[in-house]
Amino acid sequence: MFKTIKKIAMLLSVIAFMSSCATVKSPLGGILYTNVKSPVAITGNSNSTKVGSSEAISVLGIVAAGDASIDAAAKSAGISKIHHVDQQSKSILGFFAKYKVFVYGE
Amino acid sequence: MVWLARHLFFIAMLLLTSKINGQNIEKYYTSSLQEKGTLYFIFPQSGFENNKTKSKLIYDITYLATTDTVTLNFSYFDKLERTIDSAVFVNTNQRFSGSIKKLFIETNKSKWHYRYTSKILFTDINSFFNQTNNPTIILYTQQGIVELNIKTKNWKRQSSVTKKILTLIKYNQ
Repeated sequence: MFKTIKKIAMLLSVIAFMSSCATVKSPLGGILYTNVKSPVAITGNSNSTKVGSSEAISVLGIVAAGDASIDAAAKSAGISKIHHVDQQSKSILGFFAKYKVFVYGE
Repeated sequence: MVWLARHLFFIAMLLLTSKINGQNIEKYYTSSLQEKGTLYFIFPQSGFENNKTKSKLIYDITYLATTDTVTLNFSYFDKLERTIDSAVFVNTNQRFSGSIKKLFIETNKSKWHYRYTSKILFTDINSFFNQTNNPTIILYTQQGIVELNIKTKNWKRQSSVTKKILTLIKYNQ
C-alpha cells in the first residue's frame, strides 16, 4: 500500500515538474492536458470569407520555435481586412506545447 | 525508474491509440458563424512530397457554406527557384485543377516557400477525398513538372478525417 502511494506521489511530482517545462499562453491551463480555444481580438470590420493560421511549438521548454503572429496568419490566407482573431493553446504533460492563432477576415 | 518509464509509455500509447481510433475531427477544423453563412477552416495538412527532391506541400481548406467553391491554400517548399503556373489534383477516376493565385514567395532556411491560393468546386474536393487510392498533386512550373505523392497510411488518416468534416458540412447546409 505504502509503495503504491509512494509511486503515485512520485508520478505526480514528476508530472508537476514536467508541466513547468513546456508551457503555453492560455486563459486556463491543465497540468496533464490543455486544449483551450479563446479570443484574442475583434475589429469593426463586418465580414469574414477567409481564415489563416499560424503556430509556434515548444518541446520540454528547451526548444521553442515558430511564428504565431497575427501577421503571419493573415498573410497565409491573403487577408487584408481582419474581422476577429482567436487563439488555441495545447500542451501535453509539459512535454509538448503548441500555440496557434486563427485570423478571420477578407 | 522502470515503472516510471512503463507509466509514461502507457500514457503515450493511450494518447496515440485515442488519436488513431477516436477520429476526433474537432481538432482538425474550426467553424465560425458569419453574415453570409458558416465559415469552415480545415487546418493545414501535410504529407505530399516529391520522392526525388523531397520538396513538400502543405495545404489548408476554407469553405463558406453558402458558396459552391472551396478555397484551397497551399505552401510548397523547394530548394529550386520556380514559377508555378498551375496545380492539378489527380486521383483514380478524377483529374481537376483550379485557377491559382500567388499569395507570396519567401525563403525558409535553405528552401523557397511558395504560397498560393486556388478555388475548387466543393463537389470536386468532396469526391477527391472520397477516394481511397493515393492521389497525386502535380505542379506545372516553368522549370518543369513536380509530382507530389502521399504515403498510404497518411492518406487514409487524412482522407477519412476530411471526408467526415465535408459530410458534416453537407449535413449543415
